[in-house]
Amino acid sequence: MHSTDRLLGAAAAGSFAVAAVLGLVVAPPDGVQGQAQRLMYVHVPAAWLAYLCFAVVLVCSVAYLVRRDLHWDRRAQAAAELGVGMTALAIAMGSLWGRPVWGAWWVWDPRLVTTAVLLLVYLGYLSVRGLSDDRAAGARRAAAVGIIGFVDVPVVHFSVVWWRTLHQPPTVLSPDPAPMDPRMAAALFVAVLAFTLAGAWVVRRRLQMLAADDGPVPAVPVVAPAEPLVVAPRSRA
Amino acid sequence: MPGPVLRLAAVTRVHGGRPVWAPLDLVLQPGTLTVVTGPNGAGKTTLLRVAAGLTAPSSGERECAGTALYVRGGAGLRSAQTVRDAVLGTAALVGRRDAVPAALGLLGLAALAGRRVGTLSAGERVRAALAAAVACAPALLCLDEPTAALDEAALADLVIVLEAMRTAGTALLVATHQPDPLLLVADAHLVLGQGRVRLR
Amino acid sequence: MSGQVLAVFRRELAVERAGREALVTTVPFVAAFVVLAGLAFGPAPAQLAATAPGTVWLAVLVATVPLARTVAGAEVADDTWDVLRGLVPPGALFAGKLLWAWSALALTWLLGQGLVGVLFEVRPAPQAIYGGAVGTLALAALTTGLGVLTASGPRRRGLLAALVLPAGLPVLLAGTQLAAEQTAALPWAVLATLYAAVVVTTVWAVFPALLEE
Repeated sequence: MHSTDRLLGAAAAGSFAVAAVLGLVVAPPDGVQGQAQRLMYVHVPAAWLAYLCFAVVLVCSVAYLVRRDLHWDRRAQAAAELGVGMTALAIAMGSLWGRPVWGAWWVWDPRLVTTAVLLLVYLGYLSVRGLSDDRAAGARRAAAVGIIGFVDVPVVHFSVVWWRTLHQPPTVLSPDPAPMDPRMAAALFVAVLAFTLAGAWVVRRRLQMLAADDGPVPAVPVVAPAEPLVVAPRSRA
Repeated sequence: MPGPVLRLAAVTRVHGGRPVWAPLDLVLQPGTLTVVTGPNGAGKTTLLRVAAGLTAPSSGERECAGTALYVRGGAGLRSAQTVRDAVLGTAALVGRRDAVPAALGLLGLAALAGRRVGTLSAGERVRAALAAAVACAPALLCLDEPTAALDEAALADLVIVLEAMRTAGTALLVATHQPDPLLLVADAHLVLGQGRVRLR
Repeated sequence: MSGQVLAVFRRELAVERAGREALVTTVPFVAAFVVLAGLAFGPAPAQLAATAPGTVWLAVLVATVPLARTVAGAEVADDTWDVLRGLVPPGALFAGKLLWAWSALALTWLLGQGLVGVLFEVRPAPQAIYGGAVGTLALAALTTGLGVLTASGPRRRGLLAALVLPAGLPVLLAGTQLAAEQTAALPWAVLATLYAAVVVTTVWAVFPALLEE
């Protein structure tokens, strides 16, 4: 394993350990939500990492279409795979958190709806690669979906925000937040850091696997240049 | 002499991790007919599609002065339309609707003009596709296996049509497994095989 | 270029006149959808009135899936896609296909609106027309882009639905709100316009990459 990967892995493991202690032991339970609120230390970092991954997908997709270097496509694919996993985790944790707090597994909260839409779009992003056996064609299609999907997200989010304000007062879902206990804030910050470091480690390892799958770039054979073939009209009777 | 219609400089195409042929330099002047032969899998279709600009080369550069059209067999017309409407629709894409009646006449399609493309025989479809190509008058026409469904008489007619297009200034690149009738009138014969493109 | 855009559009109209593929797939679908929606949500008039705008836009959104095939899938099946790509530059091809998809979706919206008006006995708010025009433009851009994306064959056809339907969510919300009498129209009109501009521009920008092989 590369030394950078070892360092990242160690930093992530250490951060997770600290976050676990802070989140499960040091931070107090929420005064209203009780112990269920501790799911926040997984839900929020997972959502943060998912959005970060999709931003990486956008940048790498644009870079691939401009440079046509498969290295950018591998970065986009690795980031998308992690992002989809983190999105599913965020939704699952959100549901588990919401059930005791809101009394429902799902509410039409803009962030939840936007996250669900993101999950579908990026599952589609990963699936378009399989439409053709040609590596470059799959990369191009995925890049297009990655770009279209990402620019879609802010509009999706705002449309649901406006839709929610029409149909349900915001106080039902998000009462004015009280200032967070500093121990909670510290636990959340370390958890976000841990997820980010672990995410970087996972993406790097996945990049190595994808590069191995692609194999070395075939060298165009160096052949002594033949004379140019020139086709001109031949004289006809 | 006017400039070339097509210039390929050190062009190759990688497929399945291997280049289909060694880097190719090819220049086609206007008003030429080039026959392309080679065994199955040698890269004839790939060469034509790269020349027509449908497939990007993996390396090298392609320059084409004017419109390039690639037609495989009798393809290129919507099967639900009549021959006349389908050819008109295609020619309209390059602003050449007026050339359609003459093109249909040249290919002997006046009697079939009202028939749906989907009801034509394979040989008739090739003629209909050629009529669209004639009407469009592209600078470069790449025909992929136009001879497969043609009998002797139809082959002879095909040669006449291709000569007419050549006289009008189109550069023709024709891939075929039946080169003999075309070689009699061709300006060049490209042979693909063993990873190379040779001029015979 | 505008000549080629119109030539592509006229060609689509001519092909549709000859084959009626979009008509035959979309009209029965919308009619069935509205009737079934009436049965699912009705028969109370108040219930039908509340669900009318959403019913129309859901029908239009789902109709994009079969319509996307007419963009490129049907061309590939007929072996005419290479001719189009060869003769028409990407920008004109996108604009021509977009015009066609927009016309088809706008007519689908009108049909849905008409059926809902009769069967649900509701009249849409005047601003619904703006929502219909701009919303179907945005969906047409998505349909055009993703129709080319999945043109290569029947593999993962459901994938198209999974991509288009969630991406079309802003149209569903804005269009539904603009059709409802009691909501403030301007913010939703702005959202719909912004969304259409973003989607049309983005798909136009990536279209050449989608055309490559």
